[in-house]
Amino acid sequence: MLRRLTGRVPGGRPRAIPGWDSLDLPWREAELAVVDLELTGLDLKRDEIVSYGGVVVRGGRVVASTVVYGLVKPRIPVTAESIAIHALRPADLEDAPGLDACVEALAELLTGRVLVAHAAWVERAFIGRAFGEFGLRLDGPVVDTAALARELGLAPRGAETEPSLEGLASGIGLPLHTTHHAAGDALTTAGLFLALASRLDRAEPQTVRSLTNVSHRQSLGAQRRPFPF
Amino acid sequence: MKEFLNFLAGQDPYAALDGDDLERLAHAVEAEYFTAGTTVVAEGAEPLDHLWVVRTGAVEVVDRGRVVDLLGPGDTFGHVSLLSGLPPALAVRAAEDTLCYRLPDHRTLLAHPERLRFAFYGTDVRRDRLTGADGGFADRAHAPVSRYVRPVPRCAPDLPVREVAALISDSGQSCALVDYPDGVAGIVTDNDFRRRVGSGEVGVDEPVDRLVTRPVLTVNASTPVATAFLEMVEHGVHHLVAVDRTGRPLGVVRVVDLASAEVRDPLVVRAAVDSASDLAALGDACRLLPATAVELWDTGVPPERIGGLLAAVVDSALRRLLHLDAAVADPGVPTSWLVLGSLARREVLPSSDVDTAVVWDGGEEAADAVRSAASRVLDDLESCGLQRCADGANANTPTFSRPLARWRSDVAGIVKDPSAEGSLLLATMLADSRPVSEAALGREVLDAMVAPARSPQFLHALLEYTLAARPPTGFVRDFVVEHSGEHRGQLNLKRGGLRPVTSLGRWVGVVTGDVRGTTPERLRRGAADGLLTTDEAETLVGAYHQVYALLLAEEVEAIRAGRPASTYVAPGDLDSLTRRHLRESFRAIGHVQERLESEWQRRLG
Repeated sequence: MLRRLTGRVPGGRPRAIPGWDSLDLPWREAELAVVDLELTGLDLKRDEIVSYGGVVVRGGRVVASTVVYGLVKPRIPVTAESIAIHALRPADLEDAPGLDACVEALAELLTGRVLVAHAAWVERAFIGRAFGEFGLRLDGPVVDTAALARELGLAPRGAETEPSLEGLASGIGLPLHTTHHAAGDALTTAGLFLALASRLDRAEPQTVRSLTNVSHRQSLGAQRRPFPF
Repeated sequence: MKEFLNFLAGQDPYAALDGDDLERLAHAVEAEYFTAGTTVVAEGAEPLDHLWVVRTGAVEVVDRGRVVDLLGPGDTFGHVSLLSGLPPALAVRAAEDTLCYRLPDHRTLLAHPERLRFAFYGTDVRRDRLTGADGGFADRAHAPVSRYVRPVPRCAPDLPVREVAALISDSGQSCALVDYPDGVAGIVTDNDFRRRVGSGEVGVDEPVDRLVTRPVLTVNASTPVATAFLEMVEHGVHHLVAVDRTGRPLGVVRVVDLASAEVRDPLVVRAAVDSASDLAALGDACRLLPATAVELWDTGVPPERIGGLLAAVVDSALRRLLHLDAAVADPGVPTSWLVLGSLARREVLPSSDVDTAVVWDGGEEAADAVRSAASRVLDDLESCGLQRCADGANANTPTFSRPLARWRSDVAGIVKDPSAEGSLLLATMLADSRPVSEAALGREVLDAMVAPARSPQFLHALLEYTLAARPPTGFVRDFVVEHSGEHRGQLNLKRGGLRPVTSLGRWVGVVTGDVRGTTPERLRRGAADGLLTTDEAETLVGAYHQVYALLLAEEVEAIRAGRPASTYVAPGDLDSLTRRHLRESFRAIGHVQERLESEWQRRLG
């Protein structure tokens, strides 16, 4: 299945997922995929994905029926600190599928869609690395809700830490889905994205490109700041 | 997905769906965000193939440019167009930044779409409610109080009481301002007349000066509505005099004008409760309740509406408290709070206790943590002026706090064999329960109650238990009154009048498997399902309204007089028409009970 999806030719160039087709569309006309990962830690050299969740935003709406969620059996021991955050114990992950199932699900979710995540540099880095292991390349526009919040003045600019997802969502009166659960956080992020993009629309109608630009400009990821869970 | 599920499970009409259909609906949700002013549904657009539920924020319903209704969290719109196939007749736009859940046509999605019964727009009251100065929700709480200033009659301090009373009643207002030569105004309200002239303390030919309260509490006309409201709470007054920048009185603002009389939209009180950032602020907002009840009563709002309004505010206060206390008292397991009794049926009186139960998703080992968190919440509730149940139906007691698995098995035991002591009492209490947090979890207790696996013994015992609450009619023509003790010669209206009818409503609910709604709603469902005749149902509803109104009238007087309310009346104190009417009501209740007794004993026997 994965081979069919990636169409990887041994020795060939990795296939890029997703494309850039929707860059100039108003964001409500584009399809976006909101993704959240739970990790063993933030060290890209050694840490691993333990669960992923995602949902599609289509026509400006978060479509509940598109939610995907899965566990991943990590190849390194899960630390106590990370268990404290995502509550997934080694026993919970024992029988989980390997990384290939996760890559397959995320590749399907992201194909033709714009990646949206909270503090997106984390998701981008870990998805990118996982894709690379299977001959795929994450190469498309990325929208970061933490960056959009900074642009709107809802989170301090120039701060060294990312604003918390729950704090932002509840601060503007949005319902919280199950916290520190990849699917729940993806749904909360999706709601936050709608609210932030709609608010940016007030100043000027936003396209995928303009949201991507804001995300890039306001991103902390370039400096690789520590991520405060 | 749990958020969607819990939210829908906590709202009418979706609460009526079974678990499978709720899941289907939750999976079909599409969430959309609308910034203030954005059109959600355009007037005369293509017929809708979906409906909407407000999740957070508020939308306004617009009829030819005029705002005719305001919908808040949990309210559904678009269903009229969806069900009729006609273009939407009214436009809907976001009154503030609003998150809505869009649901597909339930008729093709659900296994039991008939369980969704929507309310329709159409009453004149509703359509005329929000007109003129009234804007959206946020608008109103933050609007300057000047919007609600009523010009009131003004008079000199030496005018006789009789003439001031005539001035007030001719103007259709409830008070007058009294101007003194020193420029410090005074106020006289209809309450002063009732309390001091009606009692003979002040004669009608004496100068009004004897009744005046002076100096008056004033509020600057530019003060936001919400602030003025809290001012009234703090001082326990129902009127404030609005003044301009120079301190010149402009008129009067009344509590009742700041709150809306519409039950499902008690904007300002609820806004104050919802925005309370700490216990003190929540307490201030809650202490507004008695004064608001009095004002609503004085304005002629139907009593059952007042009950619904009070219930809505108590609900949101409890939710707010759970939110505020979550940080300091976390039981560590998912927990659902249920309200019980009259609060669950939305039939509260200002003095009603807050009866609660709790269910958690976890094992017995969490009991101590859950109960100690519940104790904290109940203590805080009382510090806000709301009383826990005096008879012990409280979420921190072992009887009323159980893990889900045990609630399920205990309830299953009761509906199979109700012979154990206290079984029926508990069953009837659970039949009047409504989750206010983690609705999906809380509903499971109720689901077990109305499960089809009930034994004939249970229904039999329940009917007997129901009919044991008899109205006070005796062999003689008059009422049965207390024969001794403190209430000798008096009649207990709650026990004798209200309880027999609410019990019948509950019995209908349990037998039909649908315990939602108020007593009148249950009774009318009973008629629709053939358990009662239409005549019987309407008779019981009429009796219910009469007794409830008498009890509320007494509570309002008690609040005004600053004394505790009583559920007792002396028949001799009632005017003869009320007395006769009440006696007829009691008789009618008795007849329905007798008919059920003979007929159902046969059917169940």
